[in-house]
Amino acid sequence: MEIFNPLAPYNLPIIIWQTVWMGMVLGFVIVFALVAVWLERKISAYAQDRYGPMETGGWGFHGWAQTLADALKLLLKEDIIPALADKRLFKLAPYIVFAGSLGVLAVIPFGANLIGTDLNIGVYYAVALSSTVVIGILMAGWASNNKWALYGAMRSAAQIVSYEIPISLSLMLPVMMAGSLSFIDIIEAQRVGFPGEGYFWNWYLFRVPPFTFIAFIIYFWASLAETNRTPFDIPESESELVAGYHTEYTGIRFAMFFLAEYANMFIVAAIATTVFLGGPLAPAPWLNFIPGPIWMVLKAMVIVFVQIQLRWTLPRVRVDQLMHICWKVFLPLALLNFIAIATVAMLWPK
Amino acid sequence: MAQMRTALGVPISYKVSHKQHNGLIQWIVEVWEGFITTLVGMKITFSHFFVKRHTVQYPHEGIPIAARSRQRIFVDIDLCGGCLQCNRICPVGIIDILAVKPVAGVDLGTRPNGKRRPLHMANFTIDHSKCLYCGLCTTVCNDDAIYMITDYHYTTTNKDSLFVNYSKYTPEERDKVVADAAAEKAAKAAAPKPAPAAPKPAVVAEPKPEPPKEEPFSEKCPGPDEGDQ
Amino acid sequence: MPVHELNIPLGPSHDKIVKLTGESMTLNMGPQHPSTHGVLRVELHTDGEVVHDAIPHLGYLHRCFEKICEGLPYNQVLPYTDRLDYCAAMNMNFGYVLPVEKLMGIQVGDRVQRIRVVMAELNRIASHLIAIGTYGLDAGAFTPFLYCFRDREHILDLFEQVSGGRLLYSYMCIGGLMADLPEGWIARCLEFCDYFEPKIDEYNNLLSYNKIFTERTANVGVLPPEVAIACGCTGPMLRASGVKWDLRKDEPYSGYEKYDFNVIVGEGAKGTVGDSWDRFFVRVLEMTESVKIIRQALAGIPEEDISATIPKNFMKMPVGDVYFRSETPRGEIGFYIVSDGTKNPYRLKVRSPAFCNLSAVPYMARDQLIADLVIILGSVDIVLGEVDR
Repeated sequence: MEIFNPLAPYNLPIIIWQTVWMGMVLGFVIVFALVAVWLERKISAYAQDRYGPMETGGWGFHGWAQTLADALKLLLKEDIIPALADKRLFKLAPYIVFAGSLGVLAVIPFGANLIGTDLNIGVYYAVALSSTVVIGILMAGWASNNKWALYGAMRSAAQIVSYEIPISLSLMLPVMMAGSLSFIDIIEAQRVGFPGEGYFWNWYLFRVPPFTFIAFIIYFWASLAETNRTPFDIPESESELVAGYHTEYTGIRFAMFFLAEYANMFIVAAIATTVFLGGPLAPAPWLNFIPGPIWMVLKAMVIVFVQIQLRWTLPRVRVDQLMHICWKVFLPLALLNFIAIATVAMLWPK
Repeated sequence: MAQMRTALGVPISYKVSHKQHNGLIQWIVEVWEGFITTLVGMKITFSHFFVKRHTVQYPHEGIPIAARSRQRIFVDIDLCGGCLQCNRICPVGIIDILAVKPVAGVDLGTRPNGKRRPLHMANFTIDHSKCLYCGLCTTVCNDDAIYMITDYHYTTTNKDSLFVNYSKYTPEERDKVVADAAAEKAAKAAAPKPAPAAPKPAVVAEPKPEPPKEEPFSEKCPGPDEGDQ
Repeated sequence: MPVHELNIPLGPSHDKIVKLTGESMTLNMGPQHPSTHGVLRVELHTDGEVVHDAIPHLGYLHRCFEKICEGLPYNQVLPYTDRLDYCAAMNMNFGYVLPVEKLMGIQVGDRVQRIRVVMAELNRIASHLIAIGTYGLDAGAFTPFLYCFRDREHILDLFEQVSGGRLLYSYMCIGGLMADLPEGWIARCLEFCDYFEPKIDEYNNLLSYNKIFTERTANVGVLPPEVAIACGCTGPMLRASGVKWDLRKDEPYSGYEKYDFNVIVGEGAKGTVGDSWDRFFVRVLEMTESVKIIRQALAGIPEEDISATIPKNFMKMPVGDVYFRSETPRGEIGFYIVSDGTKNPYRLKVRSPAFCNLSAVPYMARDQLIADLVIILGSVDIVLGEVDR
């Protein structure tokens, strides 16, 4: 087994490339988070027959600089830490949530070679790392020294941990069909196929019609619960009692939570596009002149758009109903799906 | 397919089951209903993206408001006859009027509506910050001097500018008019009384009620040049 | 109130018995809260998530309305009645002028009656739109709120054209109306009715039949009809529990007996009769009935002088007392006026519908989860202006 020596001369360009690429992706995702906040405000406004932000920014073009103004406002706010709060944990929590969600970017492919690192356990790494945000949330709730923040944090932790299972099970389907946990292999498996190469009907969403579609739906809904979006946004906007685990956070610390949530939305959408929608693959071979990252971002934006629109359409579920949906609806469906696909794979080896 | 309706005839756009099944079938029905109702909701919100916006970009654009809209009181002091009805009917008592009788021989002219002007309207203040916008003052005015206008652009950072004096008299003119009236009354009271007639049978004359004392207004109200109209 | 009792044997030979009692936790759903529809404090006694008792504490919006009215002549009381239930100000005006007219023996003409009915029903629609929109907001659905307010804007424009105010009108005066309808108002009102009826489908599809909303509200806060009647609940809350009682049909006033409309009664379509979904859906359907009444009232409205029956002054009032009740969007409002012959009422007492509806909350909230309490409070549809006066 070859041990990767970072100082060997032939490995250095790879490391420099990976660092530069990750810097670019990180920058892109942060900018995307800002754009997503603006997009959310515009989509919510247009769904509600109004305009949304219109004035901020040069030329007043639909208020494109609104999020910048909000971020600047948050930066300038006073940094309040409750007197009896656990200071170290309080300060550490946003960074753990941030790191846990953004660390997944290392394995998201934006093109055949445009990936941080092609781990052969890519899917496993993605799911495992995104589970660590639970630690950050519990830290935030505990360190706030606020009974209701703790309450909200525990509910959020229960929600995220429960919904990991349908996510993993529904992600297992493409893994089973591709035969590998690596993202690049999954994309490659979606390129080849029958009747023609590189067409969109080879994407895992459209192969084996009902089962992968159900898996996609389950993954989509479970990812809404992972990112605390409506209808599962009890931790975020507990208008029932208080504001959840980030009640006591102000200014830049709150901005970290906020941006981490929107970045997480993109990342979860990126995983969905890679695994079910072919990632950087074009829908038809004659569209290959448009580079892979553009397709990737386009497809992820469609999913993000649907996520945002769902927020403004549906009411919130209650905590026990949320658990019911996870354990009694998604889990059995995902398991049945799994068994069905395994049966199909056994009967029709592709 | 005929459109489904509830018992009272309200149309519903998809089949909703009101029966309770058992066990597995109920589970399937519930999951299916959850899926379908979500799609129906998404269709509605999606269709709203293409509808004309219901809001306007104020202050670049405005919406025309009704002619009767009660946004602000306005007093046309030339029309006012000093009947004090608006002062009496105001539920919050924000209209403060000082109407002074002119000294003998002074003719104040006619008002634009043709009637003569009986009194000096020495002071007519309205505290707009307390106004209820009920419009009762406009209903009792016989001369249509006080009415509601549709101007709503009068937000201000200075609350005192909402205390408006509609009278056209400067503080000096007002004091002079009040002093003249008081002097005339004092002169009339000090004039030698006419000789008493034959004593009438016992009729006890009731004492005339005291006229209300006028307080100095100088510190209460700003003059016509302070406060914007 | 001890909730759990445990006897724990301690000691090496398990002979010492230590008794541990748990207590219920008291918390305040405070006067400042995004979901209590005003300044209402609800004191909750809970055992974990389950609520044992929910005691509303009122008075945060008390403005001494009844005492103030004792110092004002009858016509100056009118703007104050607007501010009782500010979401249904026309109905409050209506509720006030009816007993005073009964006391003074004034019979208003047909045109005045019809216009009053139209205003009351339009305001019923507007008030139910607020109730439905904010109920969706409590449940987490943000968009139906905006749709309801968009439609309510049309009603407020109509009201502004006729009375000058958007929320507080003081339009109905004793013996008549403040002003007659402007040119073209009837056509605009009928245009609104045509515009509005399909919108109810939109609300139903987006909110009422939505599975998540149904799961949240069905079988939550069931109010049995006996309890509702015992608490003095009226209006949609009573009708949702299955009791068919509507003052517009059972004790008609101002010409309501001429109009043909249904009384909406809760059927338990999604759960039990008298649950929160029923209370919500009764309000949705009542809006269609109000549109029917408006159309009937405007058809055949005579042209007459509305100021013929307005009294000149209130100097000679008959001595006596009167109680008259009318149907507002929240229930039955009653004004009890005692007159001693002077121009001010001697005593003016308001029987407020939301106050009595609120008294049923402890019965509805028993053994429900805290998360459901917001849903229950939203379905009662209180307006604190009327509860506290």
